[in-house]
Amino acid sequence: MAIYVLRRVVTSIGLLFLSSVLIFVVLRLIPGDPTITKLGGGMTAVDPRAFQALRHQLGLDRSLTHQYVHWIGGVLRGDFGQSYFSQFPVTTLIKERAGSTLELAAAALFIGLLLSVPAATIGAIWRNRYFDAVLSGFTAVGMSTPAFVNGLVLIVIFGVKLKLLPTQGYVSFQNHPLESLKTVILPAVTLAIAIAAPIMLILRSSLADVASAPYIRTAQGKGLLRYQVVLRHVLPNATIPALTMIGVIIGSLLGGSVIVEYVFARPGLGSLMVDAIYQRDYAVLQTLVLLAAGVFIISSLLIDLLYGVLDPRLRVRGQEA
Amino acid sequence: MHRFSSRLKVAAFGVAVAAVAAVSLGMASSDGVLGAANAKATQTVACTPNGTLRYGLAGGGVTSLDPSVGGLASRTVIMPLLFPALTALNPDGTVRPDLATKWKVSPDGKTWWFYLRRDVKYANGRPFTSADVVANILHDLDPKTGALVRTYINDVRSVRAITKYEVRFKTGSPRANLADALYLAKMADLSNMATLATSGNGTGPYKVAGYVPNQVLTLVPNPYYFGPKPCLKKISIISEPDTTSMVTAFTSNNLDMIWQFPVTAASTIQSDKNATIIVPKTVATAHVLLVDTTSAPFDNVLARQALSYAIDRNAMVKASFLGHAQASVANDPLSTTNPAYNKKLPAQTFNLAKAKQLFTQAGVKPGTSFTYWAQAGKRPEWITNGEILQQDLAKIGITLNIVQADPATWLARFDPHGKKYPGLIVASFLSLQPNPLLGLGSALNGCDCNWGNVPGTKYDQYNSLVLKALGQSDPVKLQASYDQLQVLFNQQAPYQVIAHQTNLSAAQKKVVGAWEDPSGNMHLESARLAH
Repeated sequence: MAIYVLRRVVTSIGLLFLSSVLIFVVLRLIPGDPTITKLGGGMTAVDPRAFQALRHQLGLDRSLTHQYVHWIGGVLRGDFGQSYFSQFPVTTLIKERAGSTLELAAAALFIGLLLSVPAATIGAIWRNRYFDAVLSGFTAVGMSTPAFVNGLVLIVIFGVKLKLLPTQGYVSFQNHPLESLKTVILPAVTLAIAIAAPIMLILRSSLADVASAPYIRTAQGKGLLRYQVVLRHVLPNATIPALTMIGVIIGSLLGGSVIVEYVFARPGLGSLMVDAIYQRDYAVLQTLVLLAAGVFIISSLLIDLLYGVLDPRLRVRGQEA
Repeated sequence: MHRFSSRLKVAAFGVAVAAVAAVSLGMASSDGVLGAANAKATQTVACTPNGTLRYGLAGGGVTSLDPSVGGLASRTVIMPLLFPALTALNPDGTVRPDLATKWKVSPDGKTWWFYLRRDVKYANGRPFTSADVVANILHDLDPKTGALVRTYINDVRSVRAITKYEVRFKTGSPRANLADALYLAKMADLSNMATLATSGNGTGPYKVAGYVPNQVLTLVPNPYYFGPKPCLKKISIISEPDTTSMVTAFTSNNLDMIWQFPVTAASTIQSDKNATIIVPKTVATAHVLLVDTTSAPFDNVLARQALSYAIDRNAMVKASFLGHAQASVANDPLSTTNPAYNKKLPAQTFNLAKAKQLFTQAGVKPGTSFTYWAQAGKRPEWITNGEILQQDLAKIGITLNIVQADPATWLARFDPHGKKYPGLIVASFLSLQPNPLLGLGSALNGCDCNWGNVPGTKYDQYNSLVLKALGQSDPVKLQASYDQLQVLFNQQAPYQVIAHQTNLSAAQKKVVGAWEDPSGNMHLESARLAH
């Protein structure tokens, strides 16, 4: 087990390093220049010395290797640099927006799991074809419809027609919990639909697989009621494959849901990333992308490690190996 | 490529600005004293701060509080609120005293004295003195700063604090009214350069209470402000992700004012009985097409004239701007509402046969391709303009490929000045200064069309005309100079003016006192909420 953990951690660190190189290189390949975006665009001619001075100030006149080493060295020290434009530390900018993204992610995951797990479980217990058809339909629609379409439909119904909920904005939970919940419901449900559909798909498939296992027949033979069989034996074993999907979802949620944040005008890490892209604010952008990659890698690592804890078969296999 | 003398160009441009302003304000008397008495004043109305004004921007909010550097035009709203200058702009484009109460000029026009208010403090309580003026002007004049105002005051050779409240400027050439240019030189607190972009410490009616870049900037009354108390308890400048969400927020009363909304939303806002559209008294902004006048084929004036005749401006105003713009008749930087507009200019109306003839003479044969370079997302009217132009050019055998790029990619293709972009027709928007010579001087100063980068072109003649205009005090002769400049611009067409249109802004009817200047910038210094 220890070797397994160590191997996964080392692999994750390697992936993170490769991600940092890829992020750094790709950003500099994109057309556009932050110095031009910052100084240019007006009807007055900006002196070329201003561009040179700014490039020097931002370190952009140094070699790419030097720039990368300088950046990654700062990252390892916890210094992610300053925005080229606002000159705020990148960590400050992230902290200001992270609350919104975290609240949205938590709410979306909660609603998504609340939708998918009970629905799949009930479907496994009840075995009603009409209910199964509803679940299949929900899964198909949820996976095929883009998030922004779901978001716009919800805005029209609940915001414009019924005027029940606000269609945009953000209020932090600490400032006003009730208003915060109101502003997070629609975007969270939008994301939850996209989350619930694949979880439901995997969970239903997994439940069906586990339900045909010999030990389940044994449990049934021992006289347990159907719901007892599902809840005590089928569901715990069927959940394990769905964990991978949940890990991926958590990673992508915490990276910032750009589309949903834009549709609902909700300031978060996703919109911070889009602003940085428009401005070519390399300092902010490379940190955000690295953060997103890091969250993804770490959540996958944690899920993999959780497998070892939840599934005794993996522990045994590991010991045997 | 040999660059034309930028110093002469910029100096002439700066002098031109002052010359025109002097005419409009009234020239100095023989003893060189110019008056605050001649300037119109738009003072804030004294009142008790009340209410919060929620001001919406779209597609890019306030990214920096450093008043010197360029960047997004959306920042201009905060300048008069945080950073006054020695003079301030009036709605009609003239200037009035602000941090300076009066000024005088020597008979030769090369030495200026500005006398400062003695009761001015920054928002952190630090007194404002002539040393701050000197520091700010030198900071703006430093080429490494990249200050936009440098172009307009570049002939300032020295600035010196004579006393604690008296500043002397010396210019390299006679300036009719330096005061007119100095409204652009904002007075920031340079005592701590590390916080220049983040603190927003100024002497204006408001101070920064909260700032999240590109998200929200919160302003509250500055207790040290020297003028009448501002009328708002708080101003929140809120960045919306796009124009659609901004308009939605406005129509659902989540915003009190919005700036630069799309023309497609005009009818919705007009039909809202609680809203009003704000327009300036005159318009000094225009949608244009830029070409590289130093690269083939548009280094040939015939090709540029051909392009002008190929533009169906009326169709573009109707389709793209839904009538909320004024089609340029004679391809003139000045709009017809400008008092200096030359009414006798030959029109360059849509004429494909003439366009084809001129293109042929310029060596542009049927089968030639150009690229129409526009911004993605932010200016849908540019795409419509491009489609109209594409259809029209196709009729004379020229292919126009429309390419949309994100703002940074779009800008980097043809900026900074001097960059070559052969075969490109760039859709752009010019926000010019209110007075006539500034509008005409945009071609002089170096639009991204590179006109003036090659000696021996008609640009030299244009430059000579500007220099001649600088020395003119007689209004009739000055207007004659403007007329000649406009004729030359009409003939040379360094860029194509499609239509004059200002930024469309709107406010809930409870908002009074806000106004938009001819350059399309919103002013909230006098804004208040009516009960």
